Amino acid sequence: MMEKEKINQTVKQPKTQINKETDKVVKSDRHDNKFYNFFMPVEYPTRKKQIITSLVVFGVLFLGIFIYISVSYAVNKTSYIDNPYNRQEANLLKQNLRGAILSSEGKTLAYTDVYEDGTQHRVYPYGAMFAHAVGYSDLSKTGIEKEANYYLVNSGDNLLQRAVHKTIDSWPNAYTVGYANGNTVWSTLRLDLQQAAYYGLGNQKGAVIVTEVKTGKILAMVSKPDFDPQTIEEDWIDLTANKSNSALLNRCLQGLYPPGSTFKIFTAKEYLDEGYDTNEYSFNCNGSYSYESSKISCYHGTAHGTLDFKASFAKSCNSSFANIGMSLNKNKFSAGLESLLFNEELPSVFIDVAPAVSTFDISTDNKQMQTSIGQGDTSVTPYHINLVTMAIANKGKIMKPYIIDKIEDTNDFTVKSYKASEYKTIITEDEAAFLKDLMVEVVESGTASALKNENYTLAGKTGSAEYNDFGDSHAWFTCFAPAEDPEIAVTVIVEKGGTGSSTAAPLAKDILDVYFGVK
Amino acid sequence: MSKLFLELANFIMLFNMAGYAFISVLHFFTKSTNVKSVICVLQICFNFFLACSAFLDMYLAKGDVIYPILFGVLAVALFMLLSATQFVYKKANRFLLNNMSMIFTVGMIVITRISTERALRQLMIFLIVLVFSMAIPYMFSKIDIWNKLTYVYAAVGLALILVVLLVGKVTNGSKITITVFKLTFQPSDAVKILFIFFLAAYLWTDIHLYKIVISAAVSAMFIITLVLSKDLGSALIFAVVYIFMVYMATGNYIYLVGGNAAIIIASIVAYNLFSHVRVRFNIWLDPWADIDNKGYQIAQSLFSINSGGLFGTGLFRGSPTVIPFCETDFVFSAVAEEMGILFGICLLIVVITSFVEMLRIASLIHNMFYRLIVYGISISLIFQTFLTVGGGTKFIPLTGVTLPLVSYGGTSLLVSSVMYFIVQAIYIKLRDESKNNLLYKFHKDLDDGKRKDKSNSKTTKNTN
Repeated sequence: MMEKEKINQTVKQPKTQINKETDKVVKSDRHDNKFYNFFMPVEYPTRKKQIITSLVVFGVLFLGIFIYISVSYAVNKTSYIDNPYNRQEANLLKQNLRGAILSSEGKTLAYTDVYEDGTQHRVYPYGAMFAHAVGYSDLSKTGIEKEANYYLVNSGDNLLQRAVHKTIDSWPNAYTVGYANGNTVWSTLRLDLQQAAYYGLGNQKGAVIVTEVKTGKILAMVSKPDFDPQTIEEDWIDLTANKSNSALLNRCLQGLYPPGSTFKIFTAKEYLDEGYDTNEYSFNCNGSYSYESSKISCYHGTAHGTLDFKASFAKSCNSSFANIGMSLNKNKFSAGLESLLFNEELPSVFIDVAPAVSTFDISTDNKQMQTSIGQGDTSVTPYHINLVTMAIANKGKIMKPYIIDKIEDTNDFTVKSYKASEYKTIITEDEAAFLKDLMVEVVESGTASALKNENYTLAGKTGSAEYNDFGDSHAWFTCFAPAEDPEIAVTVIVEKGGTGSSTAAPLAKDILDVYFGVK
Repeated sequence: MSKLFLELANFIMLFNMAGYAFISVLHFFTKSTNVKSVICVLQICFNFFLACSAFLDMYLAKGDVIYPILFGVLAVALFMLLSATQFVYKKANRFLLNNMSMIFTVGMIVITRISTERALRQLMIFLIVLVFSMAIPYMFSKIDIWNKLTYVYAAVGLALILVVLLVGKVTNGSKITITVFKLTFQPSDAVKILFIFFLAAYLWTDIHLYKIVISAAVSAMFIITLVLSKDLGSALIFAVVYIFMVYMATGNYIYLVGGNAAIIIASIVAYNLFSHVRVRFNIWLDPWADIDNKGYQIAQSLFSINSGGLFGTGLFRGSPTVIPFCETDFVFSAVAEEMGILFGICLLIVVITSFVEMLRIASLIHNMFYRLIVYGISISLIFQTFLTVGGGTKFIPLTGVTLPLVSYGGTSLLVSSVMYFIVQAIYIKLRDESKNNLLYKFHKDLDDGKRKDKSNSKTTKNTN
């Protein structure tokens, strides 16, 4: 043993004895490592360290470039294509036909056709029905057309398919021969619900948004007035000139309206939050409520008589809620509203359509009183109301809304699939249960009792938001169903529709009927 | 069938490029000379098939007879480069020759795709350059006064760039070109070689602090002249070459660290002094803010690189030509767009293997003068590659230098080719002389502490 160690030492020793002054390397210094070895194959004085340092310095620099290029490609590939200075899309469309957009049932909402003269045309079989949700792709892009642009213009066709110019059977047009097929986008939209909402709104202005509460899938999104995405290029000047119509505006996401009585959800939540016992609440409504010089009247001046908290909400008693609103602490009320998504950016559905930010103003007592019944300087988007409805239905948790389910290539390979994700929990489970009870009561005995039916239970809140001094109002209704185990949330606003219970609620019921297969 | 080939061409090209890059790296991890010569033969095969598939692809896509003609001329040029060089110089470094040929092939593919007239011109220049370059090893074996012309290099080099500064033509805001007899040159490229020779000749014998100071002063004159001509890329290359060569000559880390610190300080000073430096830097930070004007070039370059994806759009299916100067400063973006990011990375790996081989040669040379030259050239080439690729990908601010052997342009091609052949010349010289071992003895004496004794070196030379 001892001898062996000795031998080892004699072998090792020279390795440590490099003459550093002359940088000279002796034979025994030759490393076992191949990487070191090829730099010093001979016994000459060498600047081994300097050579290796230079190699490492530039190795690291180039490794940096490799990583930078790869990461930048992975991060930017879907966004760079939307830049108007980028010709990538035009280049791709010389080889690929822009892919189709399908509803969740598999109905084609948009596809590209090639005419005899070789020009490509985007076709929207349902015309204006999906104008804001699917969007348009001529001229510029919006909606799903923009959101999934990168995938639509890229193709998953394999080399052989490209080579033999195979086209799928559903596009039997001879002129499409020669093109590869762009990826197919499966949206979360449901054609039947969209149809119900679209025809339900009819010629009225307004917006409908239907979401699945447990996943955040957007099942329908209608905004009126609308436009025909197929002829957007010809109509563009008219559409942009007509400012009063603002047909291009997606009212679901960007339309700001006074919330009307739907805001009582917020007021009720705040009242509970500030520690009041709602069971002990009682109010005698004689048709109006006065605070200092300002006065609030119930709708049509109806005197509701003695009301407890639940009945105040169900009957949507303005006087009672003005009374409740005035008992709230200004600072806490402000903070409470901000926790309910006021004054903040809502989760985006489309990259280019930023949802409008809801605002409120309770700086004076009068404004606080007005706000507590949803009037005054308060404005919300239908999307915001829908998100809060989703939270109540889903035990306080909001799932991030999304509109693209998955992207498939023509070989049915899933290129990308979108998963449900939690956005935020804005209220506690108890608060959600409390608000749900209130909303169930609205349908049981309150302003939306006309919607009560045997097929499914629902919970909702009506609203009639006055927008001028003559008492004209927008009709609101927001609801979810079934109340026991909520599946979908529907929010409806009909501009100048009068009361929520007369205009908006029946429309919501139509949609729910379709959803539950009643009709 | 031709349709299938058009779809497959990109993958065939990538396969050849990746295969080439792979065996080039493998080359460093094998000791067997047999394996090395097999690798060298394989390299030529990959090179040939890459050129074949690319030019066939272009011919099938466009149907123009100019593509087969260009391929023919390219084949002749590469045959000259590979065979004639080895025929004349049996001890030439085959690995570097192959790399040179491969990198030039990629350049020719890109330039042909961008413009066939330019490709033809580039090829003609290459043939002339080749004849000139091939004389270099002979010149090195016959002439032995390279290390004595110290001040000639500095004077000629400085004079050249000063002339450019005074009478040069302003192109794209920089005074970098000069026109003589209707031919346009970019002297700063060529002065790089003189600069490396000056430093090597000045620093090879012994190192005193005063020598460092004087060489720094001379280098500063070069660099400041270049900065005044707004040739920032070249200025940066000169500075980095100087730092690394001093580092190599002294073996002291302080010069590397201190030199780079000095570059950073100088950059900050330049940022505050010169508006064009500020503009470049701000574009790098946010090219999108002024995409219409100053940020256009880099934005288009980024679009190009990203739109090709990993495998590229295929030749003639992208639009690299929208990048201004795509065939010179942004040639890497053009490669990445149509041939793919992976192809671009493989190309860079090949360039890096050239660098490693040059470093290996430098480590084999025991004559400090020649070692410094090889080392300086390797640093100059790799740093220039880093600047142009890093600039085009927005990894670093854009400086506007060419990619050696790939970019379109006579001066750039001449200088890169001459640089490669100087390394070859020194390698051939080394192999010739290591046989009788005289050089070895000579330098062993020097390194034993007699480096200062010049008479000693003279006597050794005589015996040589």
